[in-house]
Amino acid sequence: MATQTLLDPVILSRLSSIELVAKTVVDGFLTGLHRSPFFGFSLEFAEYRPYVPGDDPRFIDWNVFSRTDRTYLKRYLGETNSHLVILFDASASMGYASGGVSKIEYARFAAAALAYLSIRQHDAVGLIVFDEKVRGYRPPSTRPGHLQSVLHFLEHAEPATGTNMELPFDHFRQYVTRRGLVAVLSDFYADPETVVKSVRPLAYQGQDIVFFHVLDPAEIQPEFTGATLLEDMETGDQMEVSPDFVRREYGRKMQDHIAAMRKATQGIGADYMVLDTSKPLDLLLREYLLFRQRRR
Amino acid sequence: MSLLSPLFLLGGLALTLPLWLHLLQRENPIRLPFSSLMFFEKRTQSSMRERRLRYLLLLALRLALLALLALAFAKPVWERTAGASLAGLPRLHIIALDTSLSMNYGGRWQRAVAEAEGVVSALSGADRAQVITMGPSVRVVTEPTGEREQLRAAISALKPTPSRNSYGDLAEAVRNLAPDGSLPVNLHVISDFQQSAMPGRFSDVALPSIVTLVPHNLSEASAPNWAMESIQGTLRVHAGRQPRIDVTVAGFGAPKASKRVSLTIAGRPIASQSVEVPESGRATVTFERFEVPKGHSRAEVVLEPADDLPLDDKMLLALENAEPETILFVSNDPRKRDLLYYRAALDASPLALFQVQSAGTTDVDRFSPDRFAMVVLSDVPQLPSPFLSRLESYVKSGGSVLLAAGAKVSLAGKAALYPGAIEEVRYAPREGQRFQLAGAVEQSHAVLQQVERFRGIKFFRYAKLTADESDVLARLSDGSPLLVEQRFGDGRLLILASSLDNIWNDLPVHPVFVPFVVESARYLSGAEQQSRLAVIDSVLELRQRQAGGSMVQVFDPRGERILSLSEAVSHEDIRLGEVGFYEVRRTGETALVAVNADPRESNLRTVDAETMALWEATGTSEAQAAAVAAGDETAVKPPPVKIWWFLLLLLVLAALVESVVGNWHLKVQREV
Repeated sequence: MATQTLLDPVILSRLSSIELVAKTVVDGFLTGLHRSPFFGFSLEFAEYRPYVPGDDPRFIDWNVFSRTDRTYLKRYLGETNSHLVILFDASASMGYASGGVSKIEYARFAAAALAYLSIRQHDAVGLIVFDEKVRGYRPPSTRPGHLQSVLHFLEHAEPATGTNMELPFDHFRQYVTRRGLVAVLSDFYADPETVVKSVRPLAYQGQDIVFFHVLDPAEIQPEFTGATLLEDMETGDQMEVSPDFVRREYGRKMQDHIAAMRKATQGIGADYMVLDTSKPLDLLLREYLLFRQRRR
Repeated sequence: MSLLSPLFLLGGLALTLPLWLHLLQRENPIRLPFSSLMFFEKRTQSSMRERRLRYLLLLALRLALLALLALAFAKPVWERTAGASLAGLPRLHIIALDTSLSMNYGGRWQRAVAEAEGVVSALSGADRAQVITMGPSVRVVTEPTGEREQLRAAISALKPTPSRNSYGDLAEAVRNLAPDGSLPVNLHVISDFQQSAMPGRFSDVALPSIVTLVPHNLSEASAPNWAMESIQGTLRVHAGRQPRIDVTVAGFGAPKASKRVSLTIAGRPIASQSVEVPESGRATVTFERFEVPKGHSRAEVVLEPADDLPLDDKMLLALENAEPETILFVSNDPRKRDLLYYRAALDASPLALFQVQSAGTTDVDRFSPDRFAMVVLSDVPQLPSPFLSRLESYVKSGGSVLLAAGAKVSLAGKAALYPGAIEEVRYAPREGQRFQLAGAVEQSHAVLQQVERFRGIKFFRYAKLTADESDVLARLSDGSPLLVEQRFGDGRLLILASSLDNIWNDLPVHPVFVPFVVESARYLSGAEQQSRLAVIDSVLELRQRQAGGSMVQVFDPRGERILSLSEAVSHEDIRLGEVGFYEVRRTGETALVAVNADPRESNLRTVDAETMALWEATGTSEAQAAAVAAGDETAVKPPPVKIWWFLLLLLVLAALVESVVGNWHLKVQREV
C-alpha cells in the first residue's frame, strides 16, 4: 500500500527535513486510517466544535452544515486538550545501525511524527533530549512555531555519550507538574528495575507513560559468521565473541530483557512497545493513538 | 631412557609452527562496533573459554604429533636393569663348528667333533642347544633343542670342507639367531681361530651383549704348513705359442724345507722339479716347453711330500691347445700401415691368442664373418652388399666389430656398418703443434684399463661421431667422442673416431697401442670372459656375451649336470662349490674351469690373544655369565628395549584423533 511505502523508514530517510517526514508520516497514517474501517482504531465521537480558519476541512460535518448553514468540526474521543512530553535518548548506543537507518534516526522520525500528531490533535508537545545528562528541554506548548522548534532540536540531536536514565525523569518532575502523556524513546540498555525506579515517581504523579524500546534487527538477533571483536559504542570496551554463543545465547538474553522491560513497565501501569527500526512507522502511531485513547 | 640418535630432537623446533598458527588465528577477528556489550558479559567470557579449550585440544594433538615424530626418529631405548632377568633362566648353547679347509689339518676335526659332543653332554636342566657350521658361510644344521641324541647325530654327520670360513659371517648369523635379550646364549666356537678368517673391520664380529663367547681353540702351538700358493702362465697354447707355468710354493710357520713339484696332464706325468722353500718363505718353480694335447686338458701340480694339510698341496689347471682365433681385418688399401701396426700389436702380447686374416674391400666378399672371432673395419666407408648383409647378421647374432675412421670414411661421410652419421672431420695440422689429446676416459671398461688414459697421444684428425652420452667410452680434449661402444642386436660395435695407421694420430707408435689392440680383441671376441682358474665358492658368470635364451650347461667335477633345462637357458651365474674341474658347454664351444681351494686357508696363523679378548668382550664374558648364574644382578646388562615402534603407534593414534577433532571444528564452522 502506498501508505506503508511512505512510512518505510528507509524511504523517510531520503526526505529533506524532519518536518516533512513528520507530515508525511502522520498524514499518510491518518489517510489510511480514515480509508480503512478495519484499521483497528475506532474514532468515537465526543462533541462538535465551531470551525475556525486553519482547521482541517476534512473533519467538517457537512450534515450539520446542510441543516444549520454553520460549519462545525467533529471532535473525537482523545481529542481533548492534553500535552505530550517526549523523552528522547541521544546516547551513543542510539547511533547503532546494521543497515538502513540508525536507531537515532528512526527515533527521530518517530518523535517527530508523535509531535506532529499531537499538535494536530491540539495537544501541547514538549521534548527532553538526554544522554548521560539532559542536553535540552522544550516545555510543552501549543504556541505557533513551537513544533518547528521541537523538530529542529530533534533534527540536531546526535548520539554522543553514555546513558543516564534517572536524569531526564528527574528533570521532568522538576519542570512538568501537570498531568499528561510521556513518551520515552530509548534503547533501554539498562536494568529494567533501574529504569522503572526512575520512572515510578512520574507514574505516581499521574503521568501516562509509554515506553518505545528502539532496537535494530541486528540487536534483536545478531548474525556473526566468525570470531568477532565487538566494541561498545558508549564505553569503548572490547570483547571477542564466538558465533556459537551469539547464535545460542544472545537472542535468548535479548528476549528475556524485552520481557523484563515489558513486565516492569506494565507493573507501573505504563505501556511498552518494541520499535524495530526495519519496520514502518504506522505501528508506532497506531499504538500511540490507542494509548492516547485509553488515557482520556 | 636414552636416545640413540638425539640430533633428531632438533625436529622439535617444528613445534613452533602449530603454536604460531593457533596464536595467529586468534589475532585476526572481525572488528565491529556494537551498541552495548551488556548481554555479552560473564556468559560471553565463559563461551570464549570454551572455544579456547576446544582449540587447545586441537593444538595439543598437533603438538603431540610433531613431538612423537621427532622422538621416534631420535630412537629412544629403555635401559633395562641388569642381570635379574637372566639369573635362573635356561641357556641356549649355539655350537658353531668350523668346517673350513684348515680343520683338515692333523687331528683337528676329530678334536672338534669331540668338543662339540662334550658341549652336548654338559647340557643341564632346561638348556637347549643348536648346531651351526662355518665354511662356506654359516649353515644352520639343527633348530634349538634339548634332545641330546638329535644333536649328536647332527654333529657326527658333519665333515670338513675345502672352503674357507669367516667369523664376520658367524657374528652376523648369531645376531639373527640369538633371542632379543630374553634368554642368555652361550656361543661355543669350535675352531682353529685362523687369523685369515677375521674380517677387516673388527665391528663385524661384535656379538650381542646377551651372548657369551666360549672359544674352543683347536689350534696347535706349532702348525707348520706348505702349500701351492699361486700359478701363473700361458694356459692356452697353439703351435706357435709354447706353454709356460710359474708355480709359487709358500711355507707358513714352517722351517726351511726341500720340496718336489710335479706337473701332470690328464694323469700323465710331464715334469717334476725340486725346490728349496725358505723358512716361512716362498719359492717359484717354472714349467715350460712341454707338450699339451690338443683340445682341453686337465692338469695338476702337486707338492710333495705331503704335510698335515694335504688339500692345499695340489693345484688344478685347465689347459687348452687350440688354433688361435682369427680376426678378419678389412681395409680399403692393403698397402696401408694399419694392418702392419695391428698385427704387430697382437703378436707382441703373450696373452692374446689371435691371428689376423687381412682382406680388401674388393675381395672381402669371399669371407664369411661367422668363422672369425671378430672383424676389424679400418677406414671402410662401404662394403659389398652381400658381405655387408652377412656382417650385419653376424653382429646381430652376437658378433663384434671394431670400426676405425680414416681418410676414405671422411670423404664419404659415413662408415660401413656404422648406424650414426659422421658430422664432420676435424683437422689439426701437425705443423704448429695443433692437435687434440685424450680427455675423459672410462678407465673401468675392460678395453681401457691398461691404456693409461691415452696419455701423450696426439690426435691430428678425427671424425665427429654422433653418440649417446652413455655409449661414449673416451673423449678428446674438445669433448668429441674418441671411442664409442654401441649395441647392434646381440653383438656390439666399437668405434674409434681416428685411424690405426699413424697418420691421423700417433697412437700406433705408443706402447699403449698394444694393450688397446689386445684388450679390445679379447673383449670383442669374448676371450676375456673365459676364466680357466677359480677359487672354491666363487661365482662363475655364464652369460657375459651370450644372448639371453641361449643354452649354457655346466657339469660339476663329478660329471653331473648342475642346471636343469630351464635353468640352462636363464641362469646368469653359478657358484663353484667344489674343488675340481667344471665343464661349461655353450653353443659351439666348451670350456674347462679348474677350481681350487682358497689359498688363504693355508696360512694357519691364529688370532692373537688380545684380539680374542676383545672379541669376547663384545658379548658377555664367561665370568660375567657365571656371576649372573650365581645371582649377581649387576653382572650383565641386558640389551636396551627399543621403544620407537611404540611411539609410532601413539603417533598414528594421535593423527587419527586430530583428524576427527579437526573435522568436527570444520563442521561447526560450516553450520555457522
